Formats: sequence, C-alpha cells, structure tokens
Amino acid sequence: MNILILLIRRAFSAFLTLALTITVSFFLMRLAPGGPFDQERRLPAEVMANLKQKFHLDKSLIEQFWIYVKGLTRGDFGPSMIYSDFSVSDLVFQGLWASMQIGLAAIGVSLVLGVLLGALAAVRMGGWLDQTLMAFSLAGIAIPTFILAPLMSLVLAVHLKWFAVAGWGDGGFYYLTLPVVALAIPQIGIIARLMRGSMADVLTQMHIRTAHAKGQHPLLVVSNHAFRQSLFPVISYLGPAMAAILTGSVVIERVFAIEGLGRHFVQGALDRDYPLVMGTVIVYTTFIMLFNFVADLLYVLIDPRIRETGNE
Amino acid sequence: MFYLSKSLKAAAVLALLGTSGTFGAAQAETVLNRDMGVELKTLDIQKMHLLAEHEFAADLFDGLLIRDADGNIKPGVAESWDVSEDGLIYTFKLRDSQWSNGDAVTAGDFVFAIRRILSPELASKYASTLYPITGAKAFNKGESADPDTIGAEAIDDKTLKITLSSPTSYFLDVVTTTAMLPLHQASVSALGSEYAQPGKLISNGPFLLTESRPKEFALLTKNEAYWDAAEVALDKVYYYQITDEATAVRKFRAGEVDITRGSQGDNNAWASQNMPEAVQNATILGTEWYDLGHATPAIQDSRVRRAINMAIDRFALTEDILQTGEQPAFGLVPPGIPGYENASADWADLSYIERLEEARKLMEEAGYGPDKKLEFTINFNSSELHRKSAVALADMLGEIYIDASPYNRDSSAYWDWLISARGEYGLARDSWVADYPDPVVFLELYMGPLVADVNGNIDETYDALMNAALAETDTAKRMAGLAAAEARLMEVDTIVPLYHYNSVRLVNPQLTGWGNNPYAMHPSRYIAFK
Amino acid sequence: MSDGVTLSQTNVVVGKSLWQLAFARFLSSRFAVINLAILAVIAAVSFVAPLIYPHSYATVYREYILVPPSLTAYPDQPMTEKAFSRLMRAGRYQVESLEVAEDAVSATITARKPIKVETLNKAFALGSMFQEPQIITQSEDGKQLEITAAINRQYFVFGTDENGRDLLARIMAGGRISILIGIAATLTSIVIGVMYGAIAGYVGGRTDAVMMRFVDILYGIPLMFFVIVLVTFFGRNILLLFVALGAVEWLTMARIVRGQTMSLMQAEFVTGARVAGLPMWSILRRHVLPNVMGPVVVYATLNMPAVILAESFLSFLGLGVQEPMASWGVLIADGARRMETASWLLIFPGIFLILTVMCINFVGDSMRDAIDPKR
Repeated sequence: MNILILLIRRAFSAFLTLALTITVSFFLMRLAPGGPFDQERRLPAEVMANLKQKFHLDKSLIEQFWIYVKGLTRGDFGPSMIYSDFSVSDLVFQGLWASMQIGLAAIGVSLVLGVLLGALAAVRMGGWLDQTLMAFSLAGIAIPTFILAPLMSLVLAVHLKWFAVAGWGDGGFYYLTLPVVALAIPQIGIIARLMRGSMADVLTQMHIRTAHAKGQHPLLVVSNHAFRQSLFPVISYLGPAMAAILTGSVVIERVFAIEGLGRHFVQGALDRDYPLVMGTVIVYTTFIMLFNFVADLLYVLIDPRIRETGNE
Repeated sequence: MFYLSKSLKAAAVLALLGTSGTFGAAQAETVLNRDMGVELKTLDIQKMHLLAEHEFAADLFDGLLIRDADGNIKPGVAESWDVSEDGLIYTFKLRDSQWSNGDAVTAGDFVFAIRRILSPELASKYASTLYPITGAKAFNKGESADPDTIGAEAIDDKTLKITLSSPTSYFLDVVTTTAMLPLHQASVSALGSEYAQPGKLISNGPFLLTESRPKEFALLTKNEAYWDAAEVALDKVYYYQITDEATAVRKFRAGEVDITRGSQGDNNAWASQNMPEAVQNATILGTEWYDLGHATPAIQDSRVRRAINMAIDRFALTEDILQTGEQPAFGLVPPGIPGYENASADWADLSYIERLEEARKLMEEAGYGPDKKLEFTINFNSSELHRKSAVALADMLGEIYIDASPYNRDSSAYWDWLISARGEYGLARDSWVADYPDPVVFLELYMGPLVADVNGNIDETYDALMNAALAETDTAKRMAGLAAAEARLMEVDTIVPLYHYNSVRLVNPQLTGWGNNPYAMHPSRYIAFK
Repeated sequence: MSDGVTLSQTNVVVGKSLWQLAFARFLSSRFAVINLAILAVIAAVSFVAPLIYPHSYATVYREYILVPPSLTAYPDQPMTEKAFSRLMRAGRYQVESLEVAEDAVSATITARKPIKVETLNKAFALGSMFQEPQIITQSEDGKQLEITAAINRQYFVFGTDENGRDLLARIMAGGRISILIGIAATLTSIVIGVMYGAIAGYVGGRTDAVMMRFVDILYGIPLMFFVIVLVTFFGRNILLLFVALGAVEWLTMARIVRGQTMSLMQAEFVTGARVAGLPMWSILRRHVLPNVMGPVVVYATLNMPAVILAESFLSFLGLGVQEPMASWGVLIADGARRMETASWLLIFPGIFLILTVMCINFVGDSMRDAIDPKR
C-alpha cells in the first residue's frame, strides 16, 4: 500500500523532472552561440541553407520545440545533426549499453570494496590500519580521474602491458579492467568513508554496548547488528554515486576511447548536435532518478519504520 | 621493436607455427590498424567533408583519377581522358572494372553520383566542390530541378563527358576528390542513405566495408574484385576513431595502432624525442593566420595593422611553440602550388629588429606609447596549440604598446561568432586547408562581399585584381594575376599570416609505401608491412 | 535521507559555551591543527606570496620555454648559446665566435652593413637574458664588433611552461582562482541552501512538501551536465563558474538545514518566541540559524574540495578559465598532456591541488568530531 503510494508519487515527480529537464535544456542549448554547422571549414551559404532546411533549423524556436516534443511522444529522439547515418536513439542506446556495463561494474566494485574497507576501518577505529585506509580513500577522492586514468594506462598498459591501452575490444577483462577501476576509485574512497562514519556511529550506540556487555564476540556484534544498520547512508548514496559515475565516465570514455554516453554528451555539446545532447540528457536524468528510486526502495525494504511515513 | 604492431606479432607467431607444425596452414593476414583522429561522422561518402574522411573514402572507392602515394594524379577508373581546346569539356574513357557485387562500373554510375551529391535534399557539405561543373551550383541551390542541366553526361557505358561553366585549371584535381567518386546506382536508389552500411555497401575500390562501430572503428577487408587488387598488400584495415590525443599516442606506443596523428597539443614531443624514425612530417596546402578586425576603429588605421603584422616573430612561433618544422608565412597562399609564385609582404625581408623598430615608430605615429596602450582581444577556438600561439602573440604585441588578451571560445561558438562579429575585434584566428593546388581556394576567401562577414573589409582594388585574374584563360597570366592580388592583400594588411601547415603522423617504421604529399592523403592501398 | 555527511540531527547547540567547547576540542587535535596549518601555508602562497615573488603569472620568458625545475639559477650554457643565436638572427648578425662565462657572454659578430649600436642594443633588449652589450673593439668598416654582455640570472624553482612562464607563479595564480571558486561556490550554496531549507522547515506543511518535492526534482537532473552546457555555451566566465557550481551544490545543504530547522521547531525557546509573536525572520535569524550553523559549516567544508575538483574536471574538458589566468585544474590538465616530456607541469600543481583537497577534508572531519562530541 505504502509502496504503491511511493511508486505513484515517484512516477509523478519523475514526469515533472523529465518535462522540466527537456524544456530547460532545449531552450538553454538554443540560447548558446554557434550551431551544428559552424566549423573551421566554413560552408558555402548555399550548402548551409540546405542543411538548415533539412533539420528544421530555419523554423522558429517554438516550432522546433513543438516538432521535437511531438517526436518524443512517439518515442523518436530525432536524427543526429552531425552523425547523419544514425538516429539519436541508435547512438544513445549504443552508448548507454557501453556506459552501463562499465558503470554498473564500477558501482559493484566500489560498493564491495568501499563497504569492506570502511567496515574494517571502523572496527579498527583510530589504529594504524584505520588511518592508512582513510588516507588512501581520501587520496582516491582527491586525485582527479583525468590524472589517474592516463597514469594507469601508461604504467599498466604501455609499460607493463597487462591491459589494453584503450578501446572496447572484445569487452573482456583485458580491455575493461582499467576503465572500470579508474571509474571506481573515487567512489571506493567516498563509500569507505561513509561506511566508516556510519558504522562508528552505530557501534557507539547503546544497544551495541549492551550486546558487548552480554559477552558476545566483537566480530559477531559487528556482523549481526552494526553492519546492516551502517549500510543506510551507503544505500542513500547510491543515487548520487550513479550520477558521479556517469559524470566521471565523461573523462574515462575519452581517455579509454570508449563510445559511451559521456562521449556522446560532451562531443554533442561541443558540436551543438542538439538532438544528441537532448537524448543523452534525457537518458541521464532517467537513470539518476531510477537509482534514487532503487535506493529508496532498498531503504524501505531494509527498515520497516520508514514504511510508515513513506518518505524521508 | 616495441612499436611492432600487435597484429604483426600475431602474424609472426602464426608463421612460426606454420613452419614448425601445420602444413599449408592459411597464410596469416596482414592487418593495418590506423587511427583517424576524428570520429567518422557518416559512412555515406557524399556527406564526408574532412581530410581524414576523404582518406577513408579513397580506400573504399576508386574515382576516375586517383592520387599515388606521393600525391601525383594517376588513372583510376578512367583509362584515358581528353580536354577540349577551350578547357570546358572533359571526356573520360572508362576501363573495364567491377563493383564488389560483380556489376560493371559505368559512366552512368558517375552521372548518378554527381546528381545525388548536388541534390539540395542530401545537403552534402562537400557539394560545392563540384560547382565548376556547369549547372551544378544552380541545381544545388534548388534554382533548377532538372538534373539534365548539370554538365555531366554518359555518352555510353564507357564514356563520361563533363562540361564546365568556365575553364578550371585545377579540375583534374577536383576529379580526384570524394565529390567525384561513383556510386552503385541500383543499390543506392533502392536503399537511400542506408546504402553505406556494412554488408550493404557496394563499392569499387581496393577495400570493402565489413564492420562499423560508430565512434569506435570501421573494419575494411580487401576487395578481390578490385581491378588493381594485385597491388594491394593488406588484407584488413581497421580505422580507429580516437579523439583523445594522448590516448592515441599511448596506443601507438603499445603497438595497438600503426598510424596516428599523435598529439598536436604537445607537438608530438614524446615521439620526437624517443622515436624520431616514426615521425612523418609533410608540408600540406594550408595556412594559419589571424584576421584583423577592419571594423574596429583602431585597426582601421593602416599604420596599426602594419605594425601588428611586422611585430610578430614567426620564427619564434614555429621554432619554440610549434616545434615541428612549420614554415613561417608572410602571405596567404601556401608554397608549393605548381606555376604559382607566392607574393609575400614587402617587409618580409627586413630583420626582426628592423621590423620591430619600424612597428614601434608606426604605433607612435598612430598615437600609442608606453603610457597609452592599444587594447584588444586575440580570439581563437579552443585547442592547446591555438592557446599557446595566442599567448605568444600577446607577448610579442606587448613590444609595440599593445595590451592584447587571449580569448578562447569553443569551436562552434567561435566560427559562429567570427561571422557575426563582422570585423569588430582586434585579432581573430582563421585557417584554411586546400583540397587541390590552386591559389584561388585561399584568395577567394577575401573577395567581397563574402569577406565582409569575416573581417569587415571589402577592398575593391583586391576584387578587381581577382576578377581580372579569374577571367584570364592563360594559366601563366592567371597565376600572375592571382599573385598580384595576394600582394595587394598583404600591402593593405588585410590579414596577419602566421605559418603554413605541416601534417605530422606517427607511422610504424615497419610500414612501407608511405609517401608524404601535400594533400595528407595516405590511402591504405599503397601501404604494406616490411 | 542522509547525504554523504552523517550529522546527528538532534544536536542543538545553545549559547556560546558549546561553540567555545567545540573550538577547544578542535584545537586540541594535533592532526587538525597540522592540516589547518598546511592550508594556511597554501593560502599564503596563493594570496600573499605573489606580492614578493619576482615572477608574474603572465610574464613570458621566451628564452626559457619548458625549462625543468631547478634550485640553481638559469640559464645554463646551451640555453645561453641558443638565446644568443636567436638574438643575432633577429638582428641579422653573424656570430664569428662566442664564449659563455658564468655571468657574461663575449662574442665577435659581423654584419653585411656597418652595425648600429642602437639597433644592437634593441636586439639585446628583446629578451630578458642579457643586459645591454658593451663594445670592446670595433673594426674599421664597422661591420665587425667584439662585444660582451652580462647575463641576467633567474630562478625557476618549479620550471616553466610551454610558453616560458614561471610555473610557481602560475600555481600561485591558479591557487587564487581555485580557492576562490571553492569558497564562492560554497558560499552560494550556503546562502541558497540555508534560506531555502530554513523556510521550508519553518513553514512546514504543504509549502514544505512542495519545496522539498522541487529539491527532489532537481536531484534527478544531472546538474553537472547543466554546468557543462552552461559553460560551453556561455563562455568561460569565472563568475559564471562560481554561480553554476554553487547552484549545483545547494540541494543537499537545503535538506540538511530543513531537517535541523524542523527539529528545532520543537525546542522550547523557539515555541516560546512564536508564542510571543516574533516575526518569522527574526526567529529564523536569532534562534534557528545560529543553531544550524554547525552542521552547515561542516558540510560546507566537506563540499569545498568537491567544488575545487569539479572545476578541475571542467578544465580537463577544455572549459577552464581564460588565458593568461589559470586555475590548478587548468594547470593540471595541461600537465597531464605533458606527463612524460615535462612531468613537473603535472607534479607541482597536482601536489598543491591534492594536498589542499585532502587537508580541507581532514579539517572538515575534525570539525565534525569537535561539534559532535558523542563520537
């Protein structure tokens, strides 16, 4: 019942979010100087006129918006203005496929490692292990991906030849290990810190102390009570983590020459490929909302108290 | 041997296995991995526009005329050709050759392709290349809907007649471009733009399109039905599309690609230091210059323009900033165009110190000095190289009482801005690369009223000189007339030329058949492994 | 929903003594003080040192392009020779002989025309390496001179960049921009977030629901992408960067403040003030804001490194500040391209950025521990 209300509410706000995103990004983009056909090799006026007519760019902005929204209601994201062989849906879903694979792998890796390292640090709070782990996780957050990724590629691929320098290849470990790890490292750091913080909180709470008093083994205490409860902040971080990983993939996809959503987005914005940028933004928005929603669901499933209020 | 291509290594391993064990094992394939440096925007050759795309198209299709590895024109599908006395009618005799599906390549296929690329609905960016053909421009603009008005006619299956609207000395160069490649009429008519997809594309060149992953790679395999297939050494060619320069260099170092543009941003410093034998450097037909904003009052002062032009130390720019052997420019047209004698600025012979002294004097005459500096922006589109150049320019202009600040826009915004600014700026970056060796390609950029869009300067004297030269039918006189126009361009300081382009590629030294040419065209058909 | 920082939501600070206690706790942690000291040094290097440092971030030393970091003064011999030959080429003089000593060069030069001293001086004035030349002997036709010129020695402790600008000076300038962007964006997010959250929490009810629903909606939008769109499309204005990054970061702040405000609304001194009929603004100002400031400051501190990193991310995409200005992000992005051929361009700005981000984080952690002593 409450889950149903949650679902309806979410669907409604998702619709609002999408509508807002689409409208704002459409007009924001058109306010910008330059168009898809302004380039270093200037086009003759005749050619330019043909191109503009083909993509309705000669019509008024409102008309263009109307055409676009009409297309959307049919599930048509329009043609790419730059990649003329493809519709935006082709490009975006191809890109999504690649980005999702490395993105989900990175989320998985960072969840497992982050939670483990964070829990370890919390149990050994204040000790050398804790301090080393925390210093490393902070370093993981502080070193920009665009330094770490080329460095990894240089050392591990060019010099040691353990992995491929770049490219999707066959989609196996040889090709995708580096991008996934580079994408995961900052998230491992963040999740480890979150986990440590929340677990430390939980460990100091009274009932844990009581459990201790009853003479249970400390490790058992950790696994039984504290662990599950400490996961809450980590779970609610899932949505922002996905957003961060999608943002990070902009760099990773460029450094590792992977044709993902991030590359489509940045190249699209630079090329002023309006429909492509719109397509990627819509997909991004949907995904971030989806992950926020999954996080909420997990929350509700883990903690029965929240089911009562249905929110927060 | 660390740059040995991985594919080649695999081949070597296979070869070893072959001798030791398996009898008559299939010969190892030779695979070339090349990086385009840009994303392939389309597979439809008639929508292609960039140099890298033309290279790709030349691997798939064979035109009437083609270029050899050194850039010289040689017969392709055309066995022979005639030009009429008045230079207006070109008649090509086609050899017997086949499409990849076995159909004969006919003159009709060429006529079909020409009509298609010129159709306004296709909106091809490269269509204007064919404007010398009579009726082409009107058809492309939609003024004439009748394709018969285009001067391209199939006399019979093996004879193609092209009629020009006026004599065009470089027309044979036009014939070698992507715009004049044939298309397989039946499949293109049936499939529309889909015709170019892997598995569907019927081509007549040395390679066939086997696979394409957008923004990642396109895979080409040898076309056994190609008329000159015996000369093609490679079995497979991968065209990778790597946009990050540093990544491209790393891939090259790891042997994952054999050919790449490398990194322009750092002048391929690593490769030049560590593997100079892999750096291929060729002068191409291109120029980098800055437009002077003629609509800005301060720039309208001819003394200021001259001073700016003189104060730029082009040698310092090419040697310290670019470091890859570019040629300093004192005019718009790049050197190396046959029959053309470049007209450079008359102050080009002065020493830099003399120029600087003169420039300071001019600025002082114009009312500037250490306490009254001229301020303006140096506009350019984002790129490490442009940024470094702009910073160096600002520093050099500091010598002559100019306080110039670099201003950077992303590419699309920049080119749009340049047109709409109409000369209301200090300096604005500009460039051009020619597809065929004719000074007009560069010089027509400054003919009014087109030029009004770029720097706000319509020079009637220049237009008169250009029109006179263009009306000339005698090649030598025409070239002399064009040189006079270029001299005028520099005389009134319309632009600030900086340097002429080089094309730098990192090429696996194990490759043979690499020729450096002014068109930056390196088709795979000439390339083989040692 | 917790948002990265776990703060005790019921922690109500009343009066000054608790603040003083927290401050004392903070100072008692040696680790926190060390981090704070490092930050102070970095800030001093960025904001104060330029006043006394000899190089400016914008000065181009044409003779010193990409020189490696060194504690000894430049130029070395090959540099001197190269710079000298450049000057001679600029003046079209031929070098017959050249001798480079520790602090002077002496040379015999010829020209096709008689050499004018004035012109010669101008040639030497071109760069910064040599002082005005002294003429030792002059041939009768004036076409050959024997000259000597003193060398200006300069230090480039961190080396120079591809245009010949001192890297340390650029790191200082970059630090100013990066730190200012961090502070300004964080302040923007505090202002918007605190106002929004406090109003929502105070008014409550339907208004609160609508306001929070709006925050939820914005959470669903990939805001970093909007920043990219904004910056690509409207140029790289520093101000725009501040505002855009700040506008992205206020959401979490609003949620935290709302939660705190709601719990405060139950506190006696607030209910009392409401009963007394004080207007909303003065209740918020006097009773609510001082009490939410603790978590706000902690969150803001932890948020600042994220903003600094976000700016460097934009710089990597080529969307950084305009030349000749720099930010650490811009410098690092440049250095990353030169990783192997001029590693100092990456290492030094990298150290500054990473150190700053880590120290701010540690300080934020310590502040949280100090304010929330239950840990």
